[in-house]
Amino acid sequence: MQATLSAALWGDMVDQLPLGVLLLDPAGRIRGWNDWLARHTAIVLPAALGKTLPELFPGFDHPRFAWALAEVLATGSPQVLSHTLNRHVIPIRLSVPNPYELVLMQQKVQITALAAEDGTPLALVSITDVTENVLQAQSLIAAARALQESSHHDSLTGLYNRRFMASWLEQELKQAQRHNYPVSCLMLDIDHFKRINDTHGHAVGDRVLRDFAQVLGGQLRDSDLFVRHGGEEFVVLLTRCPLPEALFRAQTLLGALRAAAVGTLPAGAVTCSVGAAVYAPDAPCTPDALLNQADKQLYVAKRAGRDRVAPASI
Amino acid sequence: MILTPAQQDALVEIANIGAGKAARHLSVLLRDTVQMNVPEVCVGQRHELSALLGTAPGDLLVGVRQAAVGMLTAQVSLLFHSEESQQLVRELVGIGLPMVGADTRALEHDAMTEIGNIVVSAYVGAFADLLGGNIRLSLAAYTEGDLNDVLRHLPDEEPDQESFVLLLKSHMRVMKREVDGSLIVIISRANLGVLVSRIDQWLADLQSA
Repeated sequence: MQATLSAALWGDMVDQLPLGVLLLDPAGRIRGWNDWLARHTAIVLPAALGKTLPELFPGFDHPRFAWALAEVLATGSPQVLSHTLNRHVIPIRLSVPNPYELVLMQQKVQITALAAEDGTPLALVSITDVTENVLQAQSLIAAARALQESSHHDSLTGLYNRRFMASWLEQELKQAQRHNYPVSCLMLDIDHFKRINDTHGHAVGDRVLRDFAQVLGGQLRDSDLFVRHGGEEFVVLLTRCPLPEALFRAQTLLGALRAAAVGTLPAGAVTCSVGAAVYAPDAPCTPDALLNQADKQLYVAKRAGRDRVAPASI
Repeated sequence: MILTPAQQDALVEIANIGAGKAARHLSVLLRDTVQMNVPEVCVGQRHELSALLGTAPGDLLVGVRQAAVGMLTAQVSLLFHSEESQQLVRELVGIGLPMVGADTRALEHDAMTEIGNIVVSAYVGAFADLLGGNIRLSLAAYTEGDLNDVLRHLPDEEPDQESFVLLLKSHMRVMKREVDGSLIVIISRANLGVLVSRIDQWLADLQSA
């Protein structure tokens, strides 16, 4: 004959688990709180019962947790909250300092549905401490992130750099061919930049580059990619954009630049020339060929007197 | 089993409502505008899945699976195929570089599990909300490998009960990248029949409203 475990024994088991366990009712009130939570939060069971998490932890505001909880209570289906995307749910201060300045325990959380004896739906929240794993991974990730950040962005303007563009453009053109849409490329070069540098100094030159990036960046869409190609040369990649629309967009960029005070120079003092080219999925070309074509057109615009777009029309 | 154009349209509409809900939650979680839509839904027999997905033998897939029970009883998986999609998921979860050790891989899997859990819950929730009825999901499980690997957990087809696959092609736009994934629903003929009759009922209710 199999012995039945008493409720008290089950309670003891939950208290001995090496993870936090709490039970929430549909109003968000705590109906269960195990020893692990009491130890780590210094909030004992009688003080936790009947309270909500914001009452126990002032400032508690976790939209993802709130949605996950509502989802579990409404559907009975479980939800997981990863450490990587949420860091933590219950704010528990770490008692031992660490080299990565983590202040709060890093957690992985699982919410599953239960029903009380009277049928009331309850949410069982289990919290696993993953701080150790995170600390081990932290140094590797931090180093990798720093490397990635520095290798993707231009440090002066904050724009994407040539290296990022190379990998992005290769993927983008593959997608453009697969999904049959055009990608336009604008190659921009600030007119007489050397003269600006020589006349006003490199500090002003740097400010011109930064302001140029800001003024033109304000005219671009989320889906556009703005890149500092090198020196005073920039590239704008316009996805799902045919050439006539790209020429119109280029004129808009030139207009915005003429109207802006750039660096310490008055409006109209800084202009640029633009060469445009398009990747058409029915006549595919390599990323280099697309950039070369835009570069040739940039040369045409410079020769035709600067502060203009080439081709002028199609 | 062939769906009528009206049933196909209904599936696309329900799936898009689910995709919109998933996108809203992912936008909050990832702090970036996420757009999702389902341009196409198709149905075929289970053995046609590879052709429907457009995968070649040995293609690596990454995804999350959950079992659904209730008004929809089926195995539901969100799969990302192609290299750029996996790269995007890595960027989304903030790691963004080749994995540097077992610990970071585990963190990536956890994040992927959560993203998959959100998407599957939103899609399945849309079916339950619009067609009426309860659907319960199992815990989300991470899966990776070729198509055979990711389907290995499924019971073999019963000889007298062929199974079908509903494929909801899902298009996601986030962090300047376009990503194609697929929600696949592996379902028996009988359970697909239940789902289709619910859709017919919904369409009839809409007509008479």
